[in-house]
Formats: sequence, C-alpha cells, structure tokens
Amino acid sequence: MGSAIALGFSYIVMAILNYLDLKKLIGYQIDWSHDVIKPALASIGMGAIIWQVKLVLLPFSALLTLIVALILGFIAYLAILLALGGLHRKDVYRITEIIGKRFKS
Amino acid sequence: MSRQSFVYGALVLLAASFINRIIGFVYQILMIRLIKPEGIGLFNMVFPIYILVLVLATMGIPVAIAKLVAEEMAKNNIQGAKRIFKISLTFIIGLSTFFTIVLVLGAPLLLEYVFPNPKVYYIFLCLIPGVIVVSICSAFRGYFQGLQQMTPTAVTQTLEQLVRVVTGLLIAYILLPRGVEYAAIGVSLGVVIGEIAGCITMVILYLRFRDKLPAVGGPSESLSQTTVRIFGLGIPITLTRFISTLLMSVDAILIPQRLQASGMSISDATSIYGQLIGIADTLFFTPTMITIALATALIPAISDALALNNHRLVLSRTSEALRITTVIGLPCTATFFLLPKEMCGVLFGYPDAGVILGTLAFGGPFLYFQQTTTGILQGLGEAFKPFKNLVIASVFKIIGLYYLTSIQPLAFWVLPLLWASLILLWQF
Repeated sequence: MGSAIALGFSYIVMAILNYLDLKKLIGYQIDWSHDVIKPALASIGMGAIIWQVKLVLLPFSALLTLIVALILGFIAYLAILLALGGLHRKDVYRITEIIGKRFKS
Repeated sequence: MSRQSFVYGALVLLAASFINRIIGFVYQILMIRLIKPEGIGLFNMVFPIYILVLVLATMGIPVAIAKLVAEEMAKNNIQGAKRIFKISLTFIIGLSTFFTIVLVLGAPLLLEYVFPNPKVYYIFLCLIPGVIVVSICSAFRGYFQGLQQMTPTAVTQTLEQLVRVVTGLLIAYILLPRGVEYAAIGVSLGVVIGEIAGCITMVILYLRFRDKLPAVGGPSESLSQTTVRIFGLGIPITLTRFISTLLMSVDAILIPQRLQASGMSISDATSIYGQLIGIADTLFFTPTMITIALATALIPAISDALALNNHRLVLSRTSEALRITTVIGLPCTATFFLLPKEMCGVLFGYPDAGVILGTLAFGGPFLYFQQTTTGILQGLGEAFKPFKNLVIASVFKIIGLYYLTSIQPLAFWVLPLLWASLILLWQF
C-alpha cells in the first residue's frame, strides 16, 4: 500500500508540473466546471449506483456484481454527464475517432 | 508497395497497438493464474534491466535511421537511404553483441548487487539473447518507418505478441512442476522466441521489399559524416531514454528490497511485488490505451496547429484532449476505487491485490492527465519539459518508495513533507 501511495504521488507531481508548463507555454487554464466538476459529479453518481449493486449482489456472486455494476455504472455516468451538459457531441465524436477512426482536425 | 500517408500509417500502428494490448491483457490474466504473482514478480525484477540494456544497445539508432532515411527519400536519394540503413545496421549489430557479452559476463555481479531475489538468475540469462534480436529488428523497423511503411512494424509487433503468448504459456506450463522460478523462465523464453519470430518476418519483408526500390542516387557524404549524423541524433535520444528507463526501473529493485526491510520473506516480497506489477498495474493502466492513443494523435495535431501559427487551435485542441481525458479517467478511477477486490478476484483470482489497486486509484486521474499533457508538450516541440518533470516526479517517487514501502516510523512524516514540497512547487 505504501508503494502504491508513493507511485500515485509521483503521478500527481508529474501532472501538476506538466500543467504548469502548459499554462506557461500556451496560457492553458483548466475549465474547472466543465472539465472537472461535471465528470466528478457524474462519477460520484456512478459510484452510488455501483455501491448499491455491490450491497445487493456481492453476497451472491462477485462476477455478477462486477458485470452488473459496470453496466449500470456506465449507463448512470453517461446519463448524469449528459444531464449536466458535461458531454458535447464533439467530445463523443472525438472519443469514437480515437477508438476507431482518425483524429483529424 | 507505395508510400503510406501519415494518418494511415498512424492508424495502422494504433490498431496494432490496440490488438497487442488486448492480447497482452488476456496473456497477463492467464499467466498470473498459471505462475502466481511470485513468478510474475520474479520476471518483472529482471525485465526493466533488460529494457535498460536495450536502450544502450540500440543507442537511439532506430530513430536516427527513420529520420535520416526519410530525409534521403525526400531528396529521392534511394541509394543514400539504403547506405544509411546498412551502416546503422552494422553499428547496431556491433553494439548489441558487445552488450550481450557484457550482460553474460556481468550477470553474476547483477545477481549479487542488484537483483533483490537470487531466483531470478536463469530468468535473466534466458532473456539475454533478446538484446541482439530486438536491436536488429528495431533497425529494420526504423528503416521501414523512414520509408513511411508502417505495416511491417504493425504486422511483426502483432506476430511477436502472439508467438510470445503461445510459447510463454506453453513453456511455463511445462516447467511449472519444477517450481515457480522455472515456470517464470517460460515468460523470458516466450519474449525471446516472440522477438525471433518478429525479426525473421521483418528480414523476409525487407528482402521482398528491397528489390522493389529503384537504384536512384548515390552516396553524398563520407562514412564519418554519416556516422556523425547517426550518433548525433541517437545519443541525445539515448540519454533521455536511459534516464527515464532507469528512473522507472527503480521500482523493480526498491519495492522488493523495502518490503524485505519491513520484515517480509523474499518469497512474500516477490509475491506482493508481482501483485502490484502483474495485477494492480495491469488493470490500472488499461484506460491508458485511450490516453496513449490520444497523446499519439495529439503530437502531429498540435504540431500542425503550431505550424499554422494558430494559437486558438492549439488551445482548443489542448482543452478538448484534456476534457476527454477527465471524462474517461474519472469514472475509471471511481470504478477501481469501488470494485478493486472484485476486479482483481474475478479476473486474476487474487482479490487481495485489490488493496493495491484501490490505493493506486487515487493517482489515476493524474496519471491519465500527465500522459495526455506529455503528448501535448511533445507536440509543442517541448519534449525536454516532460522529461524534466519525469525526473522531478521520480525523485518524489524514490523517496516515497523508500520510506512508505517499509512503513518505518519516519514514513509518517514523509507524506506531509512530500505534500508540503508539492504545494511549494505549485506556488513557484
């Protein structure tokens, strides 16, 4: 656990330093509301669903818990994110491009 | 074979990378179930050293080949491109042979002073032939990339992975009754046999392709001038890669050593390390398939915008990429945090590894964020900045690993100190 904390901490340091460099070079600023808070709220909503599924199904089967929690969690995340206006059509297009098509300008 | 467009080439490599990651993930699940985290831990203690030697043995020459061959092709000097490849290949064969001999002779010393577990000796010896094979193969890959032919690289990488999986699992299964350290030899042999298969295929593709290129142009510089150009490009690449790989390899030595310092047996320390590397890391790094793909695609996209001097486009691509990173990264992190034991248990059969995954999860959004930002910085032509940041982050990592892994009384002070340093860094 100690090793995992140390590794996680090094990712935080690197992410902050990279961000500071980007800020200095191109003036990039995180849009906290759109880029962080909305996905974070949707993740919390997803987490609540996963937690409930875990409570109900875990005594029966870990495999079933995992499958149901992942499916319902994903649906909940997407629904909350869309409801909050945290996902644009352009973002969906980009994500599908990265997965299957090209990242064009 | 006609020249492939940049986008098509990138897509071919991306598709191959996706297929390889999926095959690799399935292989990891099967291998952990077969040779247990201890076997995976043993292999992963020696593998970073092997990668480190590969960095030295290739000396950045494959990247130099790709760049110089592309330059000669742009001038339509095909003979010049072939000449650069042949000279580079000679250097690579010489260097990799030298480092192979050094490794064979130096293996007992590494066993005594570097490797935290003596059981790794034969696992390491079985990996050594891979140095020559991978080095030669990477020279051919550089040549094809210089010719803007990405298909040979993609095909051989996938073939390598398939052969590695089949032979690795087969040999590990056969050797398992002799003990887990022998079964782990299967992983090493799988790597080397896969690389031999890839290299042979690459040579066949080269021989088929060679005669299709017309004999246009000729040598426009002396041997010493070409050598200076090759190493002028290769040595700086090697320096940054060597330091990055060295810093990333520290985990393989430091974690098992510090676990032993906390009172664990060698076998338990190796097993815990295997759970970290083989199970928790495998799951934790799965979303990086997307962020690495994003970073790869971003480098040319940002460079294009920069070349057009379009600052707004640079900014919009940056924020779009980072928004996608958080949209994907945050739910993945939440899932790792909430279902770690279920994931590790169902997929790998080791629910205990969930403790490590659950702890790693808090760094998840930052890992994915730093990969995308690294791609953006490279696209901006500032490749040194992420390297510098990696060095700084690694210093924090090494201090953290040293004190937190063995949980000494001092460890309780280390985390607040690290946080304080981070806040200071943020301020400046």
